[in-house]
Amino acid sequence: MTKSSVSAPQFFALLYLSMLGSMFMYISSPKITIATAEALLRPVVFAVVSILFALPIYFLCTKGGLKENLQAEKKSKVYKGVALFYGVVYFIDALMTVARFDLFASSELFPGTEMTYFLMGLVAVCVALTFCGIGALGRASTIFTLIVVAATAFASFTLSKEVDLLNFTPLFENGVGKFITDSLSFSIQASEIGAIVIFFPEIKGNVKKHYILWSVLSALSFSFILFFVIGTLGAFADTQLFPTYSAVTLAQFGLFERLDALETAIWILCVVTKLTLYISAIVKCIGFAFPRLSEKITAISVGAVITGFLIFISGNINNFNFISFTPLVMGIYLAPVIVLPSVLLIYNLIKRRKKNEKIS
Amino acid sequence: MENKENVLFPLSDFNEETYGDIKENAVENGRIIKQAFKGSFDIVVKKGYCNGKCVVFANCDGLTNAQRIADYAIKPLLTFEGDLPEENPLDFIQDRIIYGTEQKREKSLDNAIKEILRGTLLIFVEGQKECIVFGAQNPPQRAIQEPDNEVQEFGSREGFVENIKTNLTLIRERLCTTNFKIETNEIGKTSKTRILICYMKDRVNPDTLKEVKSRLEAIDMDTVLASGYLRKALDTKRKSLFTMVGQTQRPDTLAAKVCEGKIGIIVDGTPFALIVPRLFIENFQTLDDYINRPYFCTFMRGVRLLAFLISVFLPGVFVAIGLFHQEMFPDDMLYNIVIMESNTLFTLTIEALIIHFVYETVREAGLRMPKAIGHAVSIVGALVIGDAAVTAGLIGAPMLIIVALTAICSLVSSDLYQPISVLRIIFILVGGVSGLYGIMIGAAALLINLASMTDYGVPFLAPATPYNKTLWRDSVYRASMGKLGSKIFDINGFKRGGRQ
Repeated sequence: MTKSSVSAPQFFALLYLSMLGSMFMYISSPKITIATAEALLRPVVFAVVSILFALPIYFLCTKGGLKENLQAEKKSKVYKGVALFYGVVYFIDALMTVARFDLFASSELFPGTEMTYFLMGLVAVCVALTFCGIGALGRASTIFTLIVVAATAFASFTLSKEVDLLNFTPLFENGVGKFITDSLSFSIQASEIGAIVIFFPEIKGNVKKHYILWSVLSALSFSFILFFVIGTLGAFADTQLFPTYSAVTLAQFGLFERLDALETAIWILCVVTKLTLYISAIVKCIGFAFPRLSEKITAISVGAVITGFLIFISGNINNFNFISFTPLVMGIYLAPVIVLPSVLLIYNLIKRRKKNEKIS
Repeated sequence: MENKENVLFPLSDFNEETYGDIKENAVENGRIIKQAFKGSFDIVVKKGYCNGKCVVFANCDGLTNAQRIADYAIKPLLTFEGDLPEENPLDFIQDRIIYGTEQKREKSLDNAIKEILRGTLLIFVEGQKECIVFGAQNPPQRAIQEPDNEVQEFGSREGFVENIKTNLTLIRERLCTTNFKIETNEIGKTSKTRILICYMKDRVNPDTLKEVKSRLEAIDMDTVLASGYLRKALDTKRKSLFTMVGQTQRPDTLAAKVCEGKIGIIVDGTPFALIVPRLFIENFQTLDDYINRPYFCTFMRGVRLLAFLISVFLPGVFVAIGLFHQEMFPDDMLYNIVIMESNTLFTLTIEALIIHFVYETVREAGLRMPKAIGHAVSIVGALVIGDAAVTAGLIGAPMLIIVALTAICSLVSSDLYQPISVLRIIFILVGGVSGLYGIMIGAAALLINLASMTDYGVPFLAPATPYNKTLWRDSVYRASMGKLGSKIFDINGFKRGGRQ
């Protein structure tokens, strides 16, 4: 066993946690209605979209010979360029994660409190954790997943008496077109799946099977969470900045009337995992483009740059707009999931055809 | 080039004098030995004659059994009335005159001198360039007793002692198989401490064994006085508070671990044996678990794990909730806590740190001080400091209760005491600064750090992550003996195609 190898279930547990983190800190947008019954079906679209959009990655990993080419094409400018592009995309992703958590912490956890130092600590911890390797992160994420799922199930159980089925409006009340656009907007948040390309050589086991399992489980989890959010908050959910958190604040168990601090503390596991995954991916991409750079120095530098941006963003609510800027969100989903894998796939196929022509 | 001024005791200064091969003149050999140990009254060199041939005996008085030497070596040799053969007289002496199963021959005088220090008798015969090394060890040793820090309710009462041979015998008694192998090595330039590497030939992973041996051989130390000296070499994950090198004082525990494919290392002069690799879950297992019923064993392991979590996190969580998340307390409890804490001078964080400092100090004093005054310190610690501090308003009663509970829980898994005591302080500080959120970030970092430990190719958090169905039968959950007995718990499952 090496520091850098991770089994497929562990890797997808990591992605699952990352997705749950996005769900817990889901920011409601005026363009997307949450409090409708068809919101429960959006995760189904998410699963289908995730599987369909991942086809370039699938073909790159199977027919494109990604594993071999990552070794053989270490000096290829195309590969280095794509690696750098991936690094930039995941840097933006990491920044969005930190910014979203900053907004969440300063508006919900400790309202009105300057959270910059706390977030700087979070980034520092995540940078340090990248030194442990993707293998350690994957192994730990299986335990994190159990904790987060148990906590979510417990919160849902305590919320069950608050659920009002009348909050669920009739299906497709706003039309099928609205349902499709909302569902697509909801589905393009899983840019993490592009990390499969980056860590593919390190992933041991059946990636295809676990990817499909991940899509289905993520969709089911989203439906489950949305059911309780809509059931407890109703139309009120659309007026909340963080609707999942607002639903959790209603949870109480026996003597304990407030459990939100505990729940949100457990959600932080998702944030740590997500951010560490992104930083690891950035370090790996930069390492591919510039093999002579020390991984530790790269990780520290990436952490420092994220912290710098964080200081700039923090404190002014207008600076957080980029988190929900649709073209940016779409871009950082489509680039690592569809565009960059397609570029590599086409490059590999062309190169292979030329090689075959030379031989014949 | 080594800067001698910066080295307190450069190893080159400890180089021993060499004496070359054994001389044909037996008396000369005796003189050299006397010279080598000049001033040591316990080194005895005695001259005698066996049928007119000069024979010289040399031994260390305190390390040898005088009666045995006299009865089975010196007396038979000096009273022998026949003729010693001209050819191979040493063979004749060994085969016909002296009695003893542990005998060998030595040509180097340097090695012969080392053998004296191992408690043997050297027999030099005039005209021979070899000497007989006659085993008559009887070093001072205490009786076999039950270990103080690994008490078993139903298990054996035997514990390791300082004598390496006695320790080996204690394991041999438990593993009557030729697959149980022992390899000897010597570590320490001055101490020349003997160590034994024990393993089951059919179960140990050859790569792990090779790695352990190479790490031990690479040790460059002057003296090795305890097994702990070797830990640093065996433990590669330095940036962690935890270790994958286990320690035991019990021969039955070592035998059980060796049967699981692990490697035991016994060091001469210390009653603690080392075991590699050690999993995290093993800190919550005892031999009693295999004697008790499975349901009770599973329950107790759960209790131990919970005690560990309480001892690490409870003070930090209490501080975090008290300072940042008061809404989590039920109203009545919050009311009581506020009343009691409102009379104290310090914040919860400072209170927690003060009490832990006092507790650790009392514990350290209790460990080092003469036992006769132990009760006095207990009274001072428990009554004077505890009760008086609350009455004086220095600390709150709730915090005292938390620390007391934490202290008890931290003693459940004694092997984890060191990381627990440090982690507790860290989580108090983190909880005091950033509440439950900081604690959770710290917990995540701790867990990832533990998951990154994979010494000898075995993940520290196995069989939980990576999950291994076979090993899971004896983890927090313990299956019945019937299921456990059907397949041996094999640590190397991870190396032989096991999951990562």
